[in-house]
Amino acid sequence: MLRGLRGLGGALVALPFLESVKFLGGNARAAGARPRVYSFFLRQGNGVQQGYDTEPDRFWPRAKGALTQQSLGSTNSDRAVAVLADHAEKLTLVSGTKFGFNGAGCGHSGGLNQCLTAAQVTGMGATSLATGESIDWMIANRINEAGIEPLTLMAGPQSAYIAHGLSYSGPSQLRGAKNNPFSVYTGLMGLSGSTPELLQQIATRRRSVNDLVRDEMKDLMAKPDLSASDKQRLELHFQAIRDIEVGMACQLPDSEVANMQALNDAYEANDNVVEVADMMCSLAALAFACDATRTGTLQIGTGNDQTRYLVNGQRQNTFHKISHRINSDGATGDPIPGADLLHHEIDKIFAGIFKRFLDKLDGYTGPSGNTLLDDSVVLWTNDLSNGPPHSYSNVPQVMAGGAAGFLKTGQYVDAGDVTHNKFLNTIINAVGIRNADDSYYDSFGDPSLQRGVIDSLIA
Amino acid sequence: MQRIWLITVLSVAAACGNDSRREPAGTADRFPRLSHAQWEATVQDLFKLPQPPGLSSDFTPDPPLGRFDNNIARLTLGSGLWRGYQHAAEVIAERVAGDPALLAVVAPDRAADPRSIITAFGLRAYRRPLTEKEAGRYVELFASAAAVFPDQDPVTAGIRLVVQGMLQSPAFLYRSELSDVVVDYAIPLDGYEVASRLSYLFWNTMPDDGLFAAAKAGSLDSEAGVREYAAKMIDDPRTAAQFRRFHLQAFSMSDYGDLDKATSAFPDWRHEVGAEMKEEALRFVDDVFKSKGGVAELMTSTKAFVNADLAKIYGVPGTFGTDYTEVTLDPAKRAGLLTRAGFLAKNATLTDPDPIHRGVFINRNIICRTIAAPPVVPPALEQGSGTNREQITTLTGVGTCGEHCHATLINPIGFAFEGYDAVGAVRANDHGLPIDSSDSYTFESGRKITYGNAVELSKELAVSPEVHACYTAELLEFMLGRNLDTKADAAVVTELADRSLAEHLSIKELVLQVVTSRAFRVRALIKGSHS
Repeated sequence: MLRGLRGLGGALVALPFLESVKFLGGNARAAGARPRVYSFFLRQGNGVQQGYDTEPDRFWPRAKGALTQQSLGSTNSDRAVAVLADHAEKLTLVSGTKFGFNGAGCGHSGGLNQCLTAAQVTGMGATSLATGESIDWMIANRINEAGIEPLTLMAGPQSAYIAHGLSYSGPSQLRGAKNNPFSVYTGLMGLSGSTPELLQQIATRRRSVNDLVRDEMKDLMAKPDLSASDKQRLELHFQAIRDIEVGMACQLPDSEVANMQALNDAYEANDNVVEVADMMCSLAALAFACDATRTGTLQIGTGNDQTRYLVNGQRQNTFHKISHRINSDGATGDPIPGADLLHHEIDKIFAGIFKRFLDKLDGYTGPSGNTLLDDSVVLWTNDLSNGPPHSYSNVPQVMAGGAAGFLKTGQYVDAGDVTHNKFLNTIINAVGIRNADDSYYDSFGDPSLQRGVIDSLIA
Repeated sequence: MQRIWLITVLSVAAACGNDSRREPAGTADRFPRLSHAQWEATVQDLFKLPQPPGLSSDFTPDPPLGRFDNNIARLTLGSGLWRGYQHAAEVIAERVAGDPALLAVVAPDRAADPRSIITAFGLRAYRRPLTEKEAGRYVELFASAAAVFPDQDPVTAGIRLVVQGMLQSPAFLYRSELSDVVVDYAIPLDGYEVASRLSYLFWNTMPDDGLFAAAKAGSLDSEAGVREYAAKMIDDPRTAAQFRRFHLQAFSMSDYGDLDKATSAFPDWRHEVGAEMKEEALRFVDDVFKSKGGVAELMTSTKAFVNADLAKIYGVPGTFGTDYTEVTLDPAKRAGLLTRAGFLAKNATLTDPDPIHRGVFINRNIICRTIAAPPVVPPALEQGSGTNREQITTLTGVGTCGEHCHATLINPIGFAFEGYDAVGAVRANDHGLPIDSSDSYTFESGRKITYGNAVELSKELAVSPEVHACYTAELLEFMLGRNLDTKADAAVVTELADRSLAEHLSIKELVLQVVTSRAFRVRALIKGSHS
């Protein structure tokens, strides 16, 4: 089996990480005056258990305003976001944002299409698509090294009524998400070799192969009668070819890698969803710490997350059915006793995943010398707002990280029922992107949406 | 799954009459990337490995765009996948260099001139002869290898670097179609390009020696030559496996494998029974394909392959084990795929039949009728009493907010299957009440059919032009690996669907008709070029 040979040339898992280096061939962009800021977008499905109708709010803090460890940890200890109390000063909770457009029949799919694109939805039902690029690609195209994709990650199975659908490189250009942590890690590893001489040899032969392939691709791209999609396909491929120099070492501890490898055959299993999500967050933090890429997404669970999460040690009904409060994926069915409380417990599971991600980011040093979390803006969002109504209003937006001082953290803000493109615009500015005239970038998403940023989030 | 495009293309065709036959058929895209499954099979065949290398599990997965996994919209290549290809190429090249048997596959004569090694292996890797320029680049690469693999002998080093390069070449990674001479408003594909189309269509892998020889001899340059070769290929077991993949995706049979039923209602239920239902459905479509059946057999055949669990569900007398045995089901109770356990159990709740999902699937996937998606979250309604049918009618029938789609399109089809319970067995009554599975359905054309049960409905569907058009369109979409969106596509669908119904064409014959159609043997012009 070829598979067994993967480690030849050195035990792969113990090798240095080498992607954090400058690239040959003039690909590197001129460093801007603004600090380097990393961003990441973590998506929960099925809404959160927040107040509506007869259900009390168990998600948000009781009052808007300043967040402290004390206010989250004691006064609001019964709320899902209390799990994040340790990071209270670095959090920004934003209520009052809504999606701009109706879904095309399926609320889950339409929400998933919009939540990172602020674009209109095309197509129907479970197979609908977004008509614009998602924020991770918008950011990657502007602040990554040329040709470096965002991380597109998922925790959960990829075959489903609605599988993955979060990341778009352009209108209707849905991107595949990796859902095997070990495979993501090996993908990030890059060069494998143990001595500088060996590494140099690998780099040299890669370069000569790349040169040959580039010559071939140039011949193809020079052909006069290429369809627009062929042109796009070849250009994307051409840009993806990169030569890598030997650089600094950067890797995960062996034990963590071994855990990922142990899940190599079970990363889609129901009971591993949370562990896989944690591993993906760990890989995102590593990728940022090594500057392998500067943005990414993680979709946890399928479109209408059908994971049966463990609450109090018990495997519960599917999250989707719990979010409907009935034993059905549709509108009629027997009530699930205590479904709103189960939903709240599941929200806390997601809060835990996010908290451990923040812990990781806070454990690395960022480019500014502060922690990597201080140099990042990371978001825990949702493609729906709440339980049974599955509304598109008051989508829970839980943001963390100061974006190197751009964001005013440690507060809970009501954005005032605005479309969420303004919120995404604010994040785009936080990573250092501006309009050509240096004014705030204000036009992400569908052009029919009102432009602007949310001023109260900016320091 | 949506079928909007079919209605669109058919109505365009109707509006434009037969003029569309003059339009160039085929697709303009020239660089469909290998799907991950094709990559695996191609590497296996290229190096004559006993099994696929398994390295694609680390590739960036393709997004779920289009209905079938070979849809060109899915097959893009970004930096993540590029890195995956690079890594895989290096692993394979390293293995080749360390394995004399593999070295001999690449270079049967190590003493030969590097150029002849390169052109001979290159023909199979590129699936066409290399140009002088291409061969020259590899000769240079071969010569440079000794310096970067100092521990290997120069010939092994050269082969290793050439393999590493060829596996990353666009000529390997894409099913490139480089022909560019216009004949009769389209660009005929050359023999090697046709060979690749045939081989990836029928076998999901690269051409074998026979196809390469046919391409070289020019026997794939004519419609008759393609037909002759394809007629041989279609009886190959690999072809049956490929159309099994088609039916699996077209009828969403993957879903059968993971079903839950309430053991309070079905004490014999085990989770594995779902997988058995899937296997039975696949054996059924395999048999229809292999025994030269067509749409009518898919809709009406009573042949089945059952084991003990399934025999019990179907009420087949006799003793059965875990193996599957061919039996004939009671023709009064079963007719074709839609009356089989997999479809019925998939479209059912834990305890009851689900006429809504049965009706929606048949409208969308068998009739290709557009049904608007349901409300985001349907309003919660009080469940009524009475039979399953009466409850559904209370919720969605005439006079309710579901009237438009449910009462006229979905329920009339779904109710025909009320005689089957949630695991697909025939049931005598519904909660002790008599079952009514009669109804009538009006096609978009205005034609109305009336039926007493699912067997009668299936027989009506088997002779419905809409069903033949729907199946033909799905088949064409799979075979071309792209969405159908041109007038020429619609013309091919219309013509083949008519013949499928009138001449009772088999699936194999439909496939051969597509393969010999112009759409399969030419590349369309890009709008604005070659004017």
